[in-house]
Amino acid sequence: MGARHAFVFAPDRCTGCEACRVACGIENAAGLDTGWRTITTLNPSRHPALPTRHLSLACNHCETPVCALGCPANAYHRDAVTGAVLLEPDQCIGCRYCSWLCPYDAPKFDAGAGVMTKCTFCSPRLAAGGQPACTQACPTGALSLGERATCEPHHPLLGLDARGLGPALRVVDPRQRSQPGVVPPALAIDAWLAGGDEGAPTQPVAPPKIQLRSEWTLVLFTVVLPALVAWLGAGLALPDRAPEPVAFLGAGGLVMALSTLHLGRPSRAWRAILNWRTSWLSREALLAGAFVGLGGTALLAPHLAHRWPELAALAAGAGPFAFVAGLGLAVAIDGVYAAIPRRDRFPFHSADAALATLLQLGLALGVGTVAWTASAVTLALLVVRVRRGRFGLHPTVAVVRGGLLLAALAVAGRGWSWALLLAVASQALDRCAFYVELGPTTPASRMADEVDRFGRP
Amino acid sequence: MRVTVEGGRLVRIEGVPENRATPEGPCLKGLAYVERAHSPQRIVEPLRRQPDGSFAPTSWDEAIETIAVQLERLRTAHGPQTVLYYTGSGTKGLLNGCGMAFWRLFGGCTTTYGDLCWPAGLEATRLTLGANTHNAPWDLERARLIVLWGKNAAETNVHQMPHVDRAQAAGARVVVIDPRRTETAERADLLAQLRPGTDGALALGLGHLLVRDGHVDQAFIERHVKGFAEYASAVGEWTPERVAAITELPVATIEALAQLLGTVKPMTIVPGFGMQRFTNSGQSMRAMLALCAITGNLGRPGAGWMYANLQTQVFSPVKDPIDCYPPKPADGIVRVSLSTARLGRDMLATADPPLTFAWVERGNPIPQNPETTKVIEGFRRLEFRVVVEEFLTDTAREADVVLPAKNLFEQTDVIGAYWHPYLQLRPKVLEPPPGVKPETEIYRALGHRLGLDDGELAAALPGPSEASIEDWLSAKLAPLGISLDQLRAGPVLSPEFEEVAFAGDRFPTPSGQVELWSDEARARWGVPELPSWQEPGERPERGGRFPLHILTPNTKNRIHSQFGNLDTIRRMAPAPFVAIHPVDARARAVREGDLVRVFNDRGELRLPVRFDHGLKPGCVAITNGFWLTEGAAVNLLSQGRETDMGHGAAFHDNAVQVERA
Repeated sequence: MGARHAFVFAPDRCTGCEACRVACGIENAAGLDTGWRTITTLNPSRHPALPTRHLSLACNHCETPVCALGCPANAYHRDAVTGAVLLEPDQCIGCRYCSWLCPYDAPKFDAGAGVMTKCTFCSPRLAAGGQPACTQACPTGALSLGERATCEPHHPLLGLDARGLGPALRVVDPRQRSQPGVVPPALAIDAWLAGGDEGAPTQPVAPPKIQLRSEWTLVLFTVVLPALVAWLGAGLALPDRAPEPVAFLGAGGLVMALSTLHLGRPSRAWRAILNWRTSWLSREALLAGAFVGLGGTALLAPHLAHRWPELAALAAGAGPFAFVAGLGLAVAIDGVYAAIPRRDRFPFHSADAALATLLQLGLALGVGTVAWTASAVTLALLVVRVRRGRFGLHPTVAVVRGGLLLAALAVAGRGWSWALLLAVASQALDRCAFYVELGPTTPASRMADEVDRFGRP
Repeated sequence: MRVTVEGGRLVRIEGVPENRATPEGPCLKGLAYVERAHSPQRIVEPLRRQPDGSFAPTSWDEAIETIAVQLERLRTAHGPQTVLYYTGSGTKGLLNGCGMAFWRLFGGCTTTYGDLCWPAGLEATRLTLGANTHNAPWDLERARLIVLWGKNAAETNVHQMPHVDRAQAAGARVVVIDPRRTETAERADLLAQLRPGTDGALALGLGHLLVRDGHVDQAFIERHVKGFAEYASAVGEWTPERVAAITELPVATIEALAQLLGTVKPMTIVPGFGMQRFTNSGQSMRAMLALCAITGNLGRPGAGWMYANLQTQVFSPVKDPIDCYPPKPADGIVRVSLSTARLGRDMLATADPPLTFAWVERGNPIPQNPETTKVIEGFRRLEFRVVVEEFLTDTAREADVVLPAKNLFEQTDVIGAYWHPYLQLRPKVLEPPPGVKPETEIYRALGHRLGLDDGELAAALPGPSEASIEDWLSAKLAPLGISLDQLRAGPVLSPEFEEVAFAGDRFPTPSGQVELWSDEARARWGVPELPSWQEPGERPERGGRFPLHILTPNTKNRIHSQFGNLDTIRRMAPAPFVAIHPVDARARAVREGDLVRVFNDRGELRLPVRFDHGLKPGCVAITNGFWLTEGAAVNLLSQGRETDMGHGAAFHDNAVQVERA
């Protein structure tokens, strides 16, 4: 059940005064800025080609709360009375995944506390028959509390993203003035058309939430574990290619440990497996643990054989299960990132983990058809990304990435381990690029994209 | 506003639906009082300047003793008029009148005339319509044409916007006339970006077209307008081509404006305050007022001139703006001799007796009055300065003794408004911090120390108890037939309230008509009897040393120099900047974010640049109210000049140059 109420926002009435934001801080943080409600301004420099509009957004307490569904730690719940989507800070591990998933950029990271924090819909006030502080405070009636709409909120150039989540947000259509919706005041555009030397409109936008610099541990995690899956798989079929247990456990354990560093609360990392029912991130954590644990067990089996033969036989049996868990892990990794609202809505990526796992498995096993097919798909996806221009890849990176992959295929006949290493290096480079371009989109970034498209002839 | 206090702290401020003008939430500044009331920056005990220039806390007894010693010494040496009593328009209320009552008991003082805010417009309105009143705020919803002339209501009167919005929803057209494409202009059907200071020329040009095209209300003019024939002849020379050359508006825009004004009724003109701060402003405002008169847009629902509503200023014996003028004859006790607009220069020039002592309350004249350097010089020339303040402002920093001021939650008072017609009770809801006394108590303590007559003091000042304050307020309210109990129940409409101002076409001018021709204008101010226009006294010269016009508008974030020190506000507007059109920036090889010098012969500011495509090229803009300590006190650039009428401050006659620093 979603919230009964909805935020109703009328862009025509919003003057961008920020009283809603201030009122939120007064109500929920004793006058400090909660950061829960943000006002994003379209065309703040008032380029004559565009109107200037504001969008005031907090959490929309969606019917399909991707934040709660994606939260690996089960830190979210829905308030039974008001339908508000609430976050329990004591249960949050600070992974920030909810903020990557939310197309409205509602959950915010509290760096001090190491946990996420978000709009509560002023649930206690709602439950008492009142309204949220923000809607109560709005001096122009731009933001109010109303009934839910059945259709997705949309407004030209406001960066709203209809994803079918059922947000408790209604956006009032612009009034038909003497100009249609997206045209600025009359005279300004005349001056622009006459002068014509203003340049194209630009929209300032904050740097993306996901930065390679801060998420490098995740690059390691998503490159090294699929490579280990391929290596283990090869070792199961061809025992002389099996990884050394120390190397396997060391690498697997290290990247898993490092990945907890990006958590705001690493001590709560164990909670990440709690929501395997709906969260790909939870599944990823669970499968990574299973893969490294079972894989390490299987690889240790020969070393146990002379002292505990029965135990060794049992341990060796874990190998296939580890491999299946590893394949599942690769799929889960891709599941984690597929759910993120990316600037490029293209659903496939040349750095996808499952694709890389297959490719590397083919190389490690020496099965040319698998390696060549996966490589062909990878290279095709690479070309697609380069051609997609502004969301895409720098051609130089693509050439190096492709070159490394071709080199891996070229040396495959002479030594599987070199081929695998080259393929992993190629994948690592692409994975870095993947994080750089990941985004995820926010209302502000989508607004910028819309303005960018508008400015193109 | 409705406030919630928990544990002695203000925790919530909400709107009051009973006030029909502002039924929604308070503006940003209102909300910011949650922080302001308890700000750690607040002055909560008297401060005494130390020899090294810093301030140290002192006791009330010592502070009063120090002040009294200086007052007695200087009164003996020069007479009481050596004391400058300066008040601004901070915390409003009926009790503010106690200050002057005290200084009269002291023997007198010197004070200012005129006002920084809006007097040229007030006087133009009074000369034309006879009174400063207008239709109820919500009546704007009945207008079919709204002309927001130099008014950025979205930032400076945000509660007017819902009324504009409802009018638009009902089909009204909105025109904005402003050199800036403001937040308000985003809602406009037409934005006319004219050259600053040329509003009067535009108004005369519109008058020309309305007369030429016969778009005038002949019946209304014949019965209620004085001087139409002379006006119609005078606007003959204001052809669209000439007006276009002056205002830098396209002829087509002027024609389009005239077409709207002449054909869409009812029309309300909502002028702002900014364009009546030029040397030519009073006459310009009269020219604008004439447009309402000749189209018959007065005394009707949805029509009129929504400039100032003094219906709630029911306590002045003489109503604004006359009470800003020097009293005639001087009463020998209070010398009203300093022009607020020329405060610094007039302080320096005052003799017989010279000024040696200043008492400042509810104001921050150093950054806010024109020509800041002269104001500072004027204050530094004095022997002793007392500033009553909530925060250590630029003016407080110049003081010898700073006395902590109460805030609006700490003493019961009754307040009026500029725009809406309600009288409202402002009850005491917070105890002042232990070291803070309301002004009435400061004056009582000082009066005792100076040996003023107890009986006279008691008559001038209410006692410290809540009951005594209420008695004092009740006595003031009694002649109006309003009781405190009524006010306790909610906002009360002023006894002078009229839903539609000048209904029945009664205009309290000397002729009883709307006066396009005003003999008083000539007699009192020496301006032509008819509305006229001439260039402002200072204007940018293309190719000259100072080719740019500097606009110093208000922002939603502050009321002049107030609120900018609060974290609530700083989160939104952390640092000052100068806005410039990219065209002007390119001509100076200035890029976005560059540090520039904004300067003229009077002063200089160094600020980062922000591009504003919506600014009229040839103008730069810095919002006013930043402090000297923030490096952006805009009055470092302005000159102390009076407007052509009303003794306003013409600080918008202001030309500058911008260069990369």
